[in-house]
Formats: sequence, structure tokens, C-alpha cells
Amino acid sequence: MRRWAPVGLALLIGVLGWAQTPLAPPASPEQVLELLQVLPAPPDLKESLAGELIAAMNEQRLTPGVALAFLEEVAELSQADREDALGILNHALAWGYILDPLLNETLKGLRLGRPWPEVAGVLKLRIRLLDATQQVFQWQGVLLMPLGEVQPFQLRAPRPGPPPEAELVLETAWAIGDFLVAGGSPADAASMAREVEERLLRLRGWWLPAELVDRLLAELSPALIQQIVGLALSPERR
Amino acid sequence: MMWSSDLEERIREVLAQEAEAAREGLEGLEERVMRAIAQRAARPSLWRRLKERWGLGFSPRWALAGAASLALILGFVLGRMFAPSPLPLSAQAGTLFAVVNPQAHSVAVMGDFSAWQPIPLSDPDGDGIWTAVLDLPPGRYEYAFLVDGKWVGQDPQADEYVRSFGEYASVRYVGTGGGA
Repeated sequence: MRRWAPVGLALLIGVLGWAQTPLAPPASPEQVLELLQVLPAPPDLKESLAGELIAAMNEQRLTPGVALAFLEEVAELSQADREDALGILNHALAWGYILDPLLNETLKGLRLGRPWPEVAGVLKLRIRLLDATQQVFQWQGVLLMPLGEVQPFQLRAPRPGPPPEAELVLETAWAIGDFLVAGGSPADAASMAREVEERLLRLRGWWLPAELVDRLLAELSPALIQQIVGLALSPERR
Repeated sequence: MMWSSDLEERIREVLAQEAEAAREGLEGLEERVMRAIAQRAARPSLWRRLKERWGLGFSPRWALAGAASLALILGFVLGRMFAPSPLPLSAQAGTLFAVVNPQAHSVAVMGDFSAWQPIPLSDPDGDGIWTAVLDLPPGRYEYAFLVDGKWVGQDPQADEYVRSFGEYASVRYVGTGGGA
């Protein structure tokens, strides 16, 4: 019977494996950098991107598979659009944000066949909201960072994986962005505040630390949201 | 010429001689038959014959493992055939994506979990219920279906919907909290 045991085990593993559809095989950081090197783009931009991409992937702010899919799509764009896309990526990388949602938003827009300027417009709005949310949270003391230390690089992770504060900024900015991108009025701060509250309550305690969410919810108001949106949409930020 | 009475006498004599000659062989016949029956081995069981024929000798531990494997396989197959859960599964058990569309020729799901690359759903029994179970780590995921290449963004099983680029997308919260 012992000779049948491997066959039985292989059969069992095969059947159990059949139960789940595998996701795409994960890409490696090396694959991302190799693709970046062959992209037709200015060498100084690629050099800057390479360093930032390595840092972002090491800090788990960016998944190699998402980065690879993004670069593959960018490679298909026109020269001008490609440089614009890489410039946006470079900016977001340098500011230390969690990148996966931004790149996934790009991929979704391109999958829907939207022209690059439309996709870029959404991305720039998302990035401005991230900037503004981070700043307002720091001003309001939600992130408990002294004002003297307000630097965008504070969102870089001191340990593997993004810090929860970065996740809090991301989810708040993303909830506001979802409202605006769907066509909501920037003046409807009350609705945006509700969207943010619902999003954070869904994530509270398992994805975001409860104490961090509670601290923000205690401060959350239409006025706070209006401050974020006003900062994000101010003409000097466009 | 021989009379019939003489013939009858003659036959009787011959038979007597034959019986006398066979007596030695018949002596102890019953005893020998009974001894042979007693010595004959009982017919082995089907399992024993299979074991001897195919060499299927194994310990109870392997028998238990085999039975457990068979039970798992049987349970999985029956569950897949008869009880497609309408509820999203937990992240540990995999997250079920399902579309009911008997007219569809191809169905795929794509989202944040696949960098928006389509992952095909399958309908092996042709009942129009297309499914895929994805092993997703906890998190919030946006996704949409492609039904015969057409974007279908609103999944009835979603926790919420978002709208961007003029199309809806569904959202699942997978993990220990949230919806799914």
C-alpha cells in the first residue's frame, strides 16, 4: 500500500487545489525593474523611478504584480502620455503614499478603454486628496505628529508594511475621492463625511486600529472634510 | 443354448465377483470423504482474496487516512454539485464570486486582487451558474465581472458599489471584519 500513498496524496492535493482558482503568479521586483529599463522614457526619470520603486516594494506600499501590470499598460501609451504617467507615478512614489490603489485605479480606467487624459485627471485628483488629507490630519492632530515634523516622508513605513496612519489617510482620501469621482458635489461636505464614517467603521478593528479610527471619528465633521476638499481643489494645487 | 434361469444365475455370480473385487476400495470411503472435507480450508473473504491478488496490505493508520481522504473528496464533490453557497465565504475558505447567466459564453472577474486582469469563472455543469473561488488575503477589494466581454459592475453579493470612469464597480470587504 505504501507505494499507493504518494498517488493518493497527489490526488487529494489536486482535488483540493481545484477548489480554488489561483490568482496570477506574483511578479518579482526584478521583473518590474527590467521592464522599467526597456521602457522608452528619459533615462533620468527611469533612474529616479527605479530607486523609488525599490523602496516602495521593500516597504510593501507597492505590490510588484500591480507595478508590473501598470508598466505594461504604460508601455502601450503614446510617448507623451507615457511620460505623463511615469511622472505621476514618480510623484506619488516620492511622497511615500501607498501606491497599489492608485495604480489599480489607473488599470481600471485603462481596462474600461478610457483615454489617458481622463485617467490622469482622476489620478491627479486622488493624489491631491491624499496630500490634503495628510496635511489636514496633521494640523488637526489626528496623526499625532508635531507640526514641526510635518513632512510627506513621515508616511514612509518604519517597519515592513505601511503604517496604520498611512492606511487611515488613504482610506479617508479614497472615500472622499469616490464621492467626487462618481460626480458628487464638492460642496456636499455632509455626504462626504458620512461616506468617510461608513468606510472607517467598516475597517475599524481589523484593518485599521480601533483607537486610530475612534480618534478620527471624534474629529470628523463636514467642516473637516470641507477643509480637505478645499485644500485639494485649490487652484494653486492644480 | 442357455435358459434364462441359468443366465440370471450367471449375472448374479459376476456381480458378486465384482462387488468382492471393489470391497477393498470401498472400505473406509465415508471416513476418507469426511476427513477430506474437514481438512479443506474455508474460502477466504473477498478482502483477503483482493489482498492476496493485488498485494493490498496496509496498516489501520493508512486505512484511516484513506477513508478521510475519500470522505473529503466525496464531501467536496457533493458540496460542489448540490450546495453552491449563496453567501460570500471567509478569506480562510476562499472568496466566492458567482454570476448567474445561462446565456453567457464566457464570464470573468477582475479587480484590485488581479491588477484588473480577467480571471475566468467556470460553469462545468452548464447550469448557468458561473463561479470562481479566490484565495484573497483580508482587505477591501474593488472588482467587476466581464460577461461575454461586457463590463458588469454591480454584483448583488457586493458590500457596496463605487462609480468611476462612468462605470460601477463592486466592493467586497474580505477578512475578519466588514461584510464578507
